[in-house]
Amino acid sequence: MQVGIEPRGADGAAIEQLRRTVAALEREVSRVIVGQELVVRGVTIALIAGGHVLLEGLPGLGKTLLVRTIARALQLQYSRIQFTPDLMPADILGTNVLLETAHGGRAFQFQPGPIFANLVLADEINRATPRTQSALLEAMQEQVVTVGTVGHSLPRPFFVLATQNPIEMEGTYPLPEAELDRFFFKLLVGFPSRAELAAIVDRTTGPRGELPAAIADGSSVLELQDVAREIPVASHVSDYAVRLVLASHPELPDGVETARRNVRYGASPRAAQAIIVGSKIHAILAGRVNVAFDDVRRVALPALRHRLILNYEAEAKGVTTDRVVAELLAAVPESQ
Amino acid sequence: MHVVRAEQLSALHDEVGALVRVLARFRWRLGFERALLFGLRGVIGSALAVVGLSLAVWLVVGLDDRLTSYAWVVALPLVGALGLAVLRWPSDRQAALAADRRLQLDERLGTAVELARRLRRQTHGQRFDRLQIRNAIEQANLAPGGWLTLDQRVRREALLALVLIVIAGGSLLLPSLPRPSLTRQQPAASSVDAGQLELAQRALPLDTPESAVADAPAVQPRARTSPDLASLASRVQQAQAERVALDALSQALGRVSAAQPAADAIQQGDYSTAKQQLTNLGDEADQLSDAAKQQLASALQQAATTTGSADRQLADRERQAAQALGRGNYVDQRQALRNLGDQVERSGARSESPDQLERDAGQLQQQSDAQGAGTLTRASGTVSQGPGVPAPRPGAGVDATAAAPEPSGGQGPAGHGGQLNGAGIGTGPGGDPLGDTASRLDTAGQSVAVPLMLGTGAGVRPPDGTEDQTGTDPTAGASGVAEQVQAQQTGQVTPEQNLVPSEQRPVVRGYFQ
Repeated sequence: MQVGIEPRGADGAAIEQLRRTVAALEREVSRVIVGQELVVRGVTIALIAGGHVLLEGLPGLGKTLLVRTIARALQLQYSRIQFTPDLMPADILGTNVLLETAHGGRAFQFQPGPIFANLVLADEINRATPRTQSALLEAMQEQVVTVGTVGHSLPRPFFVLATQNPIEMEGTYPLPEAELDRFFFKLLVGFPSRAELAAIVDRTTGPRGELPAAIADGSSVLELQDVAREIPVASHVSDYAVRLVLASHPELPDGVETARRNVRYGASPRAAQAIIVGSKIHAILAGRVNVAFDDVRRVALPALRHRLILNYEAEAKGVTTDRVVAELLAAVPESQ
Repeated sequence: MHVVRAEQLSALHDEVGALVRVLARFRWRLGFERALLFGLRGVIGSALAVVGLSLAVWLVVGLDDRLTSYAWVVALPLVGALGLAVLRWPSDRQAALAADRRLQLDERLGTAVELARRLRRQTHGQRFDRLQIRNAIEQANLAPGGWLTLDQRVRREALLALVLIVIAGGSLLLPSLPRPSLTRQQPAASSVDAGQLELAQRALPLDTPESAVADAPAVQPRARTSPDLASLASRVQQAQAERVALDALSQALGRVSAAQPAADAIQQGDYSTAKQQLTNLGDEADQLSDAAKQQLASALQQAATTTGSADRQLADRERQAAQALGRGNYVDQRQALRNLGDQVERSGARSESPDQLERDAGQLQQQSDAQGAGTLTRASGTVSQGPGVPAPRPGAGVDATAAAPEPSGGQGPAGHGGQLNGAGIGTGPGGDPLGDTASRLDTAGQSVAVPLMLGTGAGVRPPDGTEDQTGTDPTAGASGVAEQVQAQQTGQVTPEQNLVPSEQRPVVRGYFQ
């Protein structure tokens, strides 16, 4: 049931402001990106939740363009890192360089890398070696970069939107589990339909279109993040999210049959956090001031699909994590 | 500052009060529905009680005087059910959760109830608590839905209650009908006895003629134990067949190493473990080599043939598993082996343990022996008393009732060769040794020591399984005959003491002729 919230008082206005911003952002993105509504909605939810997003899809589907468009619409400082096999951690984080001081002496000074931006596009992240991929771990979780013995804070808001090609492609390295777990959502960018492809061709081969308009800035994004986190969740709803995560663990008594059959490692506590925060934003966008079971179900797939590590048998049989998550949702009852 | 805070608290409590009023409406509604459902169940129970009481009053003499004192039995289910419904009257939270589910309020009321509770405890709420409670109240007021929700289950139970009320009403007419007479059932009991008697006669390897059984009053009390024996015999036979079927399956599974645990479990009589092992085998069927699958398939096919009619369901499952293993489809194989495991558990649950089977067989053997001895003794007794009862077949000297008036070697009025107490030779004309023992004894006065056909000792069935009946020294029991049979087979007795297997009888007959 989608019903608008009557904007009464400052609280109602704050929620209404969040909805209006999201609607405007999606409208601006849709002027540049054809289709991919679910991907755009997922990226928007993750941005308001303050989480990072991993976009997976074949080359040429508009992943990079989507991130650039969002950065422009939100007036965020944007930087792009093209991950290659020879990229080194210092190329991302920055390094201490020896400079001459005004007094003629020499001193080390930190030169920040491209990661010092509000919105970092880690393009084709799985083309870099695991060592370089791991350079993002501290930055994504703590929003701090430590070089030598000095920690450097990253600007706020800070988002990493990473794109990756499917793992089966040549010259790719799988992301380590710890890195994957730091992504709030993993979104799959599918191939456009016939009508969408025709619209893409039409839009990109004609006269240059207008650029997306700015609809918000970094500080308003931070305010929206605070609003979203205060949406109440009933205990039986949060318990459902917790039971979903526990059900993914084959070694636990709460683990369901599909997890025992297919999963080697279940989802981490970050998965439950991502489900609850994502559900809060989904609830606001659905016109509610509370989280429903339906919100949990909607965000469970992008929050869980990259956090489940399948076992050998499941991989040999071609079982996907999406299928396992669908079976988890079917197996775990809403109320106990 | 304090004034603003007080105003906020007051507004909060207004919203909580409004929420409580909305919830009270849902509580009444849910509680009434629950009472209705419980009431229907109580009515069903009371209707059944009425039917039971009516039947009791109709059948039992003198109960109708005390009928009113049993009225509480009828009222108890209904009162109990309604009392339970009141005791389980829904709380605020239960009403909110039920309303969320039924009115599709997306957990608004459930969340609002929790926030209201928190507000009562903490006196101040979070940023959006008021907004959420207000939103929940608005949506609950807008939600459609009548006073009652009669779902499929309630309708079904209402229909059942209605039918039972009609039956209960009809049963109230029973006491006005004439009571059934218990004496009318006597002939039926007699006929059952007769049927059981016949069954027992068929089950026992004894040739007691019907006339002897029917005419001799002394036999009847003894015959009453025969149905037990027949039932035991049937049970032992069935249990043996089922055990053989499971043994065949165990042997078949034991031929493949992967199925060895299942085979062992069946052998040990642990059928739930066997089921689990077969399920595991099914899950891992894709890891079996083709050679192992083929071997298992052929072994199962063979087991199915062996099992045959002893346990048709088990044989079918074995056959299906064999076919699935031969086809190479993993899903089919897994399902077929899982089905086989289920059937093994069912068959195992039906069959008796080897120890019990052994005990039953031993008991059956003892009872058979005892029954055989008793019957022969009774038959002899009849002979000694009777003036000569006509034998059913001329010349059937084996019949105890075709007794001769002479103490030995005499002829019956219709049967020849009737014998009594001790060795003797019949002189009657012709006849088959089985149906016509006289011919076997027609030795023209030549004295031949032939085992007695009748005696006071226990009877024994010949080792070849024919209907021939032999006797031996009247003082010897069944075990003595068995020993003689064994001794004869090992060549330790003279031909005169021969028990004459059926296939050799023409030779012996020719020799004597």
